[in-house]
Amino acid sequence: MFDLDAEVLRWRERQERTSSLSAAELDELEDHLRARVNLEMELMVVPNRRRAFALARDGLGESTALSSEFAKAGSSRWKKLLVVGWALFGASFLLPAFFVPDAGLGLSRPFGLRPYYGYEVFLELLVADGELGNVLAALSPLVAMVVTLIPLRGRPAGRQRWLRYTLSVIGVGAVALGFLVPPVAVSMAGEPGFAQHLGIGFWAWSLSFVCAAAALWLRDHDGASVRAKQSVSAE
Amino acid sequence: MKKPVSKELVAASSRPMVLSILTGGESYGYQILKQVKLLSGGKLEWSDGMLYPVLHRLERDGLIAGRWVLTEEGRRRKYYRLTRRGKRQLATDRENWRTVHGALELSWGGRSV
Repeated sequence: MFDLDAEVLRWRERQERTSSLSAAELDELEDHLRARVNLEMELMVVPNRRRAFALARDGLGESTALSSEFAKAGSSRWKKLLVVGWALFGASFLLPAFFVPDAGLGLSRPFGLRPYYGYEVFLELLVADGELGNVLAALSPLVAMVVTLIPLRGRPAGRQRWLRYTLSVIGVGAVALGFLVPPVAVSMAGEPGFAQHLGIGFWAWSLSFVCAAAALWLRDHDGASVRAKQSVSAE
Repeated sequence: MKKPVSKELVAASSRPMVLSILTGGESYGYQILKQVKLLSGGKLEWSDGMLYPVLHRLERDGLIAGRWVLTEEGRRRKYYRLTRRGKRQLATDRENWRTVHGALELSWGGRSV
């Protein structure tokens, strides 16, 4: 016995796995499938619902073709947000992540602070001491961000819930840490008053993950929260 | 049997076609598609998958506005309506298409081609 709901669900799950279409776009296409099946049956063009569904499904085309057609229509909100996330992430490497006491300035400029750039932090974690924990701390956020490029390029990526959670934990954790942890006091040569201050690069880096996580959330839920009004559809 | 209209011409006419259909009131994807087939006597071959990106582009450009409506079956359906900006665009498109049509008619001198 042919079950239209089950077939539509199967089609939708396949689209979720193999296309970059948002939840709202899939909602609209699902409605299209059902409307066409109903019409084919009303007109009695096809012998049964199975055939009507096959016609409707084939009429919409393959997921990759659909994705590229939708991509031509322009960037959706989640893509723009993801691009913002990437811009922040890229900029964070070139901006000061911290300001640290500069030993070189010494006593002549006791309050001298030198910027510690994002790329310096990254390289230090990666190569300076070679500890596995530090290497992982440097690479994991980078890998998580790189994986977000897969849906951005319109490639099949599934819903990637795990990625969303990972990015959220990194982003929200870093922002919270930045707000909650006071500047670390450092004394040098008996001079008090030095403090390691967070730089704009740190905030850009933290917010880039928040943006990326929000973009992926939006991709999965875009339009789903739109308030629907009860009305009788005019067929 | 006449050949179907070329893909390029179908694409070029998609905007005024959708905007014109929506002058008749709110409509949703599949209904618009049926209207296109009806109006063109089936000569304008719009693939089902082509329509929605067109609608989304028009919505992004502010020419049409969409809203989700809950149907009797309890499913969500997106209805589109023409915006004020869309009406202005349609007036421009209509003028342009009439100019093209008029120029072609004149160049053919009333002869059948």
